[in-house]
Amino acid sequence: MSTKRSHARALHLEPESSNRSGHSVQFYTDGSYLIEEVSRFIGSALGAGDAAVVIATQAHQDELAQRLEARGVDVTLAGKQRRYVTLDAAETLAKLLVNDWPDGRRFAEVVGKAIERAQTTMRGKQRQVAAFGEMVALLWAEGKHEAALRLEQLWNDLARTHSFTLRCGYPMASFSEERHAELIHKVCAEHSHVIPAESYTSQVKEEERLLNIVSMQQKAQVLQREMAERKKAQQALQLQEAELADFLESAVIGMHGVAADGTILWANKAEMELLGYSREEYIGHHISEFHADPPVVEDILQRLGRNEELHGYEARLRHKNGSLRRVRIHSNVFMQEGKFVHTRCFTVDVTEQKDADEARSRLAAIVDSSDDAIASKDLNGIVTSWNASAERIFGYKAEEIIGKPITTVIPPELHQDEPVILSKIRRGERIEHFETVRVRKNGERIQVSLTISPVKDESGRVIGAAKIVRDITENKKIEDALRLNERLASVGRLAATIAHEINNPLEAVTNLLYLAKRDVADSSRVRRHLEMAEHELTRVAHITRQTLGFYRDNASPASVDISQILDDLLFLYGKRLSARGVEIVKQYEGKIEISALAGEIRQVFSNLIANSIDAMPDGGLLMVRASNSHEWNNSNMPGARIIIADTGSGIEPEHKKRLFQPFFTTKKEVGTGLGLWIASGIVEKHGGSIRVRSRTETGRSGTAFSLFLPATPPRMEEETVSILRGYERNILNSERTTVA
Amino acid sequence: MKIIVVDDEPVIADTLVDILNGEGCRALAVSDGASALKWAPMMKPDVVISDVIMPGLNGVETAKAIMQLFPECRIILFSGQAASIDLLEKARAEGYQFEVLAKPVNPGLLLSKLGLPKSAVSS
Repeated sequence: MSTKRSHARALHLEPESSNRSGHSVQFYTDGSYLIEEVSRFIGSALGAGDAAVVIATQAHQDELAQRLEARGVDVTLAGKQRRYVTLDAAETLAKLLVNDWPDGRRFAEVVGKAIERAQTTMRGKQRQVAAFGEMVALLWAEGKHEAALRLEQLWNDLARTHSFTLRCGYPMASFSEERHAELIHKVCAEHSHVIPAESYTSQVKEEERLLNIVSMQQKAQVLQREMAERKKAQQALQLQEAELADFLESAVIGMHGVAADGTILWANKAEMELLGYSREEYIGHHISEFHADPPVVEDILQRLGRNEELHGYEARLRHKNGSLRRVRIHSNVFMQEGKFVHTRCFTVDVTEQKDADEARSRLAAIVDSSDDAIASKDLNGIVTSWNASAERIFGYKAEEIIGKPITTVIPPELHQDEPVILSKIRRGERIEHFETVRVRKNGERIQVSLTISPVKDESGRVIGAAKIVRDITENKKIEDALRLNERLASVGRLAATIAHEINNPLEAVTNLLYLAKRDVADSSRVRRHLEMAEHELTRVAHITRQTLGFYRDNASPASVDISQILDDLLFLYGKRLSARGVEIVKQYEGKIEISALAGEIRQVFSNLIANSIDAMPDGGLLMVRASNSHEWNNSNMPGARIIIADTGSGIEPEHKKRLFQPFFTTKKEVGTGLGLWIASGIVEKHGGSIRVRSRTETGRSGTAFSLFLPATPPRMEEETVSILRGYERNILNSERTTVA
Repeated sequence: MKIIVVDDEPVIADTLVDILNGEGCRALAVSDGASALKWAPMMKPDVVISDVIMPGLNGVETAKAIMQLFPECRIILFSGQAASIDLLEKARAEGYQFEVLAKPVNPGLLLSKLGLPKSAVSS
């Protein structure tokens, strides 16, 4: 132990073996402090006539030489006397290493020789050697801690065979990390003495040093706490980072970052799922590989390059399965100190929304081009949409009527229908082909067929109604003409019946007159012939009287005796009924009079009776019943109820629904399929109702028509009457033309 | 001349028989086709005069049955209504051609059709 600082012993750190007693380690913070200490160590050796070996960096060698000169040591002379040997640390270290590992043999050759040379005087005498080495510090600085420790051991091994005192120098900076705490112990363990760095060693007095220890302990305390806090802060930061990363990763919106050159830097799960690629197939690739439209991606990159922000930029991306996804891109650039670092991109898949939009516009186009008016209203009856045909049919522009009540187009007398319609819609019911009257903007009335369906939201709640309105004014005119046509046809059929009823009595009268002339001499016979002729003529008169007016269309309702009409008809059909063996049961409850169009009412009964006769080719029972009554529905309106029932074949249930439709007939040879349609039309016009009950089981079969006709009919539509008039006029004119 | 007159209106059948018998015929009045067919084998008529629209067998059906029994028998149909035209057309389609007269028939015309001398009355 050559150091003269005995107080260094106080810090003696358990030498493991005695041969290391001359191997001390010098820690330092400031290079100049190291040089000062080493110069003291080397200087005292040289001053005492001993030798010194210095293996140091070139810089330290120079500084050391200067410092020794300053202490009055003649370095040059000592060199000449071979008492002062210097070796470059890096060069020497290079010679020792085999595969980066200090080699024992080489160490003995290089370092051992240098020591030996310094030990031997010119005269062959042995002298003391002080050595300073920095090779370990170089290894340490490179992080080769094991190699450094190995080198220390080699020094210790050398000390077994050679006598020298050695000082190693380690900069404190090499031990600045927490994990170095253990390593510094290992380094110290290889040395017999440890010399702390200058903050401690520079204190001379014991009290100062103790104070220093307290101060260092306090500092250590502060540092320890700071470190713990920093550790905690770091953990919190890491957690926060992990959370943030997880947040991005599991966000439902696709996100990715793109470098300035267009390379995808990262992307989250949603983005991968959106496009169906794996991370490897996406990240690291150029963004344009995934865009369907090259000009679009070019534009995006250019805009971002200009540091523009993109909001809802529409693009089409290619899914792995080949399909295209429509997306909206929100993106901006992350700039740092004015430099483009990367972009941040949010990708929202709007494919479904776009498809829905397109489907909606397709539907809108269909609605717009429909010939039928299509409109919608909310549950308060306020118009919410109005298509082009609605504009055409009603004369109101969409902007004029949207927001207004639908009753704008409903005639005032039908306004009470609207709450009924709305309540049906609220219950989710549909109204189909409801025929009614609406008003155009110019006040004109039009016949329409309405179909109203409830409109429901996603949860199935009714939020409004969609109406399809068909202008059937023209259809109605055609239907009316058809009705008239059929009525004229039935006039013809009845005319034939009447002809029979008239021609037969005339035949009898003709014969009787012939006989009266022939038997002119026999006055009693003549008298009998003439009486019979008179009787036959009375019959003709009766028939003509009752059939007169049969077809005269009374423009306005007049008092009609229901039982009288029924009797007339039964008389007229009397022969057909008796010919088939049909028994008649009549039941009239008192005098039954209503206000109606007699001709039309007669036609209704005539059609029903004729149907009954057709249903009973082999006889049966015809029951005709009439009574003063009330409508059975809520109105309780007074009027007449007429029941015409037969024991005929009955109506098949599947036919019942279509019974009142035009051109529906079960009597293919004789029926036109218009009789009941006309009958129901007439009954409706009179504000009445017609119902049918029927059975087809053999032995119990039969049909009963039940009619209700109100005592006073509602206001008749003049229009229908005038159409009929016009039609009749036309026919008369054409007949006249034919005759002429 | 033996004649059967068929009409569901008794007044017509009776008066016609009265007229024909007055001209020296032996005429029989019946009110339906079935009766005519019942009497025909006994009477072997030269002429059958029948209404067309009748309950039961109609005039055309009666006439066809008579023709099968007595192919030589002359058939004259008379009718007062258009519906009979349909029946006659149907018969014509089946190959039957009948003499048809429209009611009311002038008795003088009927007698001349039968080739009977016109009596003074019909002048």
